[in-house]
Order: sequence, then C-alpha cells, then structure tokens
Amino acid sequence: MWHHLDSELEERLLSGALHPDDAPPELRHLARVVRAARPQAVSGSPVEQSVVSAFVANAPGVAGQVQLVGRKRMLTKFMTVKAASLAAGLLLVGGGAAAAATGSLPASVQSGLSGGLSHVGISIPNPHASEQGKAHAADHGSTGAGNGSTGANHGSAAADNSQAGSADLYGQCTAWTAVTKAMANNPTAAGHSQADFPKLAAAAKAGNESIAQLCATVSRPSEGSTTTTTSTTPPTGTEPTHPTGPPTSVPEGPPSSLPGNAGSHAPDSTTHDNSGDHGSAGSTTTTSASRSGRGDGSTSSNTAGGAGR
Amino acid sequence: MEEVDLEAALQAARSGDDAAMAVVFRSLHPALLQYVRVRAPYAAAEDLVAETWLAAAEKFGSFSGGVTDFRAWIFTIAHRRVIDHYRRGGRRPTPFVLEETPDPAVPDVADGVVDGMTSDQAINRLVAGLPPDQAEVLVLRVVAELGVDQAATIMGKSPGAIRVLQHRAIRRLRSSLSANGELDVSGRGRSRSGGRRNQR
Repeated sequence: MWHHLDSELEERLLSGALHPDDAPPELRHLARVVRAARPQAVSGSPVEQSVVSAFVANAPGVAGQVQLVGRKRMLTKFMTVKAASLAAGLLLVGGGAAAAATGSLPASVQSGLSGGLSHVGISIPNPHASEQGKAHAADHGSTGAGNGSTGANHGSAAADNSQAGSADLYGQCTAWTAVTKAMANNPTAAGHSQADFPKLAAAAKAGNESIAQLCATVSRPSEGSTTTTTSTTPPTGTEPTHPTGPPTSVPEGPPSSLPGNAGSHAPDSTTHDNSGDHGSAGSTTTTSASRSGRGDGSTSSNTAGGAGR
Repeated sequence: MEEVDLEAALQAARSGDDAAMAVVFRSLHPALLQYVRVRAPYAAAEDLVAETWLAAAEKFGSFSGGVTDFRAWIFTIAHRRVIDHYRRGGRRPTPFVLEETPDPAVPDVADGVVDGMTSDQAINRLVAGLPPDQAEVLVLRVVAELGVDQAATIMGKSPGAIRVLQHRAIRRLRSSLSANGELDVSGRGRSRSGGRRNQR
C-alpha cells in the first residue's frame, strides 16, 4: 500500500529536504536519486574565462559608471576632453610628466593641470590645495577640516621633488590614463596609439606586457617615502568625503574673503578629492533610476530582458 | 555552496568582481548544462549553454535581483535558446527515447545501487522514460533548484499545471523505482536501459 502523495511530501522530495531514511519505503530510493541529482559546483569549464570576462565587462556597477559619464553635461564633457588633451600634450614634453606628477612645475601650470586632470579622475599635486582647503573650511565650517588636511598633503607632495627621476614612468602612465579616459568618454575623438608614448611602449614591451598592465603596477612616487608621515598619504581614497547635507551651523557676520576666491576653489577641490565618491554614489543613483521602469527585479522583468534575441 | 555565499558572490559580481563572477558561474554552470542536455541533443548542449551565458552577460547590466532571480533568469534564457535551436533546424522536440545500447558509464537501473552515483547518472534515472514536459519540470525543480512559480514562468505554464506535471512524474518514478532500486518491469513501458536520451 503506497502513501498518499500530498503536495507537502512532493515539495520535500523535490527540494531534497526529504531524507531517504525518513521517506516512505516506496519513495526511499527516489529520494536518494533526487539528492544525488543536484550537481556540485565545478571549475575548469573551457568557457569560464570568456563568460566571466563578458559578465564583468557588462556588470551593473561598471555599466552604471559609464552611464553616469554619458549623462554629464556636454560642457563638462568637452572641458574634460580639452583638459585631458592639454594635459597630455604638456606632460609629453620632456620630463613634464614627472614634473607634474611630483608637483615641480611652476605653480600656475601645476594648478591648471591639477584642476584639468581632476575632471577625468587623475590626481596630481596642486600647490594651491592648502589654501583651497582653508577657504573650503571657512565655507563649510568644521566639516571642511578634512579638505584642509587634504590640501596639506598635496602641499607636502608638491614639495617633494627628490623622486622626479623615478616618477617619470608614473607621470607617463598618468598622461596615458588621462588620454585613454578622455577617448573613452568621447568615442568620436581620434584615438591615440602607443607611438604617442614611446617610453611607455618600450617599457611595456621590455616587460612583455601591455601599457595598461604596466601602468597598473606603477605606484605613485610618494608612496613608500619615509621622509614625512603626511606625504605618504595618497591624496585620494582616504580623505573624508565632501559634505553633501546641509551645514550644521550658519556662519554669522561678514565673509572673511571675497566670494569669487572661495567659489573658484570649491569645484576644483571637490572634484579633485572626492571624484571617486561622487562617481560611485551617482552610479548607484543612476542605475537604480534606470531600473525603476522595469520593476523591482522580479523574474518577469528580467525574463523579458533576458531573451537575448 | 551555501545560498548566502552565492548571494554575496552575485552582488560582488554586479560590481565587477571577476572572482565572484567565477563563483557564480561554477555554481550554476553544471545545472545549466544538465538542463540543456535533457532538452536538446547531447552534442549541442555545450554550445547552447555557452550561448546562454554570453547572452546573459550582454544583459547583465540591466539585471536586478538576487540569486533566485538570477537562476530563473539564466534558465529562462537557456529555455529559449533550446527553442531557437529547434526552430533553426526546422525540427520539433521529440519525446525522450532511450538508447537501445546501454551506456556503460551509466549503470542499469536494475543494478539496484544508488548510493555513490554521479549527478549525471541520477538525472538520467530521474528523467528516463518521462514525457518531455514532466522531465523538464523535474530538472527545473531538482537540478536548477527553482520553485513552482519560477518553473511555470520558464515553461510558460500555470503553477497549477506545473504541480500536476511534477505529481505525475513522481507517481511514475515511484512505480518504476521500487524501494530497493529494482525496476518494476510491469510499469508503463519503461526501458531497462539507463542510457542517454535525446538521440534526435
């Protein structure tokens, strides 16, 4: 006499939750087969590498960043390309890369380059950063102290010219990265070739690797320095983020400096120090917004887009 | 792998972590391959699964949801790839037909030994002799670890129809596999062979 097959028993059987020892005798063997039918994770598939690469290239996080860049204002986009082109041209002139990377260019040029490259996420020292930090602190009250210290870091980095020789490769990589990013943001612009970066191309060829791989291993010249404790802190990544909420207190009395001076520093300092933070936050927002029209991740919404046809 | 780990891996993969994506791939690829092997010619299964993964990769940027959603999504793509495969060839899926010559790698059901069988062998025993829709439901429920609703979405049927199909499949398997693993030869036309199906 067989047991009645109710839906609960079937669900336990199919989900593997029904242990063969607990199963009715006529289902004991089937329960074993069901439990054995669940495949285990395996590696070594010939298509694994290509599949993983394709997924990573199209990952929502990566794609979201691209979407954010695409939605920047056109003026910002053009300015980014212009700044990157100007910076790349200057950096390619005899040792300019190393000089800029270590902050040893004339203050006006160094400041302009720092501001221009900050638009494309490249960080080089800004001799005015310390003053900008102070002005920023004055604008935002106590929360601006972090930016002030950031400026101090830049100042100390700019003062360190002793590593200019070893920083040549780093400067070249910085320029190459800037141009690459600018071209990625502006597909209609003419591309660059390895011939534009002969030193990088030669170094990469000597190491039997691509320029991208080579630059990924080149560290900032100031890293590893033991001369001062402040100069070992990279200018990006560890600083406090730019305050986005309302100020906790309202300054009273007349401003201590002209609005034009403080205002001109604010965008530079903000973009330069916190571009990564803003980028990721914006990415999340953009991605979420773009999905809002497709539902909340239900199977049906993904199914509709997943036909792949 | 624990489901919670796979959930974390998927979320990391969404941010571009290739190692995490490899974890997701290794976890789901075997089940996906088994599913396609049950529904499509064995020789074409590898290519169809590769096409499925790459098609999913193209849409990964617009995917949202957790591991359960991802499972349903990837198996839906595989389901449609198989349909495309038959459509391209101008053929229609045929009921599972067992080989006359048993595959020596797959022990005969009547051997009565279940413990120690591979996943391939177990799946063969599950779907051997079942009509295609019942076999597909069992694979989606057991191998792909999907729920009734998800299987219904993938197969384009109602949840009630899925429950009926799985109930009939279990009844059929219960009658064909006795408690000690011996084949019930008085069953409804099941073969003694555990060989490959889908020789279309």
